[in-house]
Amino acid sequence: MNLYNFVENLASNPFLSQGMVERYLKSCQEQQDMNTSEFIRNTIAYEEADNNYLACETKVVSWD
Amino acid sequence: MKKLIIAGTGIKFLSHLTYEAQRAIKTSDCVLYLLNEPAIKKWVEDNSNKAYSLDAIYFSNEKRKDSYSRIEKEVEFFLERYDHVCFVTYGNPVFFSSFTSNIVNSLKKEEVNIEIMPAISALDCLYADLAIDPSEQGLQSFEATSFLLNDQIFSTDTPLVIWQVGVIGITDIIKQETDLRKRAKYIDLFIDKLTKSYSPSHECYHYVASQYPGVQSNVVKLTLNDLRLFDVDRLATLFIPAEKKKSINANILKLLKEN
Repeated sequence: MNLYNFVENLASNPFLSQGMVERYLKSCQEQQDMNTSEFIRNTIAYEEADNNYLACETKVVSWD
Repeated sequence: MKKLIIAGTGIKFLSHLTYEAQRAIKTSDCVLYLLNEPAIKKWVEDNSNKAYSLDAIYFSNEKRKDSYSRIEKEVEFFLERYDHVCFVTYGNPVFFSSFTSNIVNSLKKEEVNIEIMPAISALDCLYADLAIDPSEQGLQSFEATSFLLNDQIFSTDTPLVIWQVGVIGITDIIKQETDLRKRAKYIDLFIDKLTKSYSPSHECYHYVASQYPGVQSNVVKLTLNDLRLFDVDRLATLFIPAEKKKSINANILKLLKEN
């Protein structure tokens, strides 16, 4: 199961034990020094060959 | 008649995508999307007839307002070519979305049926994670730059929510973390403004809602003064609990008791 499928599976199983989720993610993270969200974002972005995962703001307050 | 659906994906991947938004994405002739998370981008790509990312347009400008203007034109361009278009963004599509309101205004006179589908916003997540009921003490909510710029009237007896603290004073497209350096002086001004009314030791919450099922939201409790040196997340919302108790209007209380 790749990470995308894993995250999709998580969305379908809200009662999945926190321990199981953490164990899986921890084992993945040990290979990279990232927090969970960064890890998921980076890995999925990498898998999709799309490194443009930067957050994008949708509101601006200008004064000019 | 042409139809434009503007839908939000919520904050948490797939879990927050409503059934009606899923149907809109799956059945539209084409989907235009500006999303901030790669898994939901993939889901939209996999589940739509045609999907077009607006990332290239968004990141091709220096100023955010120029990107928003080009995105508005792109939506209109696709509406000329397709009958059923779905425009997808994250969170609630009308919360803090400059282009949603501009698209709606610019298409008012056109023969286009517009439907906006509500979705879960960061504020909804904050309510749930901090177990806050806004009916108890009320709520004030401001965008950070707007709060700093305007002579904003706010009260310390009502909880205060500040959005987009992580990009306070920044109007450019942020392409790398170094673009955020100049915000430090604006955060100082922001804290200066707050601490004219609140005590510097008043505690607040730096809140970032979880984007993934099974992953906890990031909640950090710190004082207002600590925020000056804190590495504020770009996605953070600041929640400042009330510092003072509300005063009761004695005349109204008397009237209520009489009845």
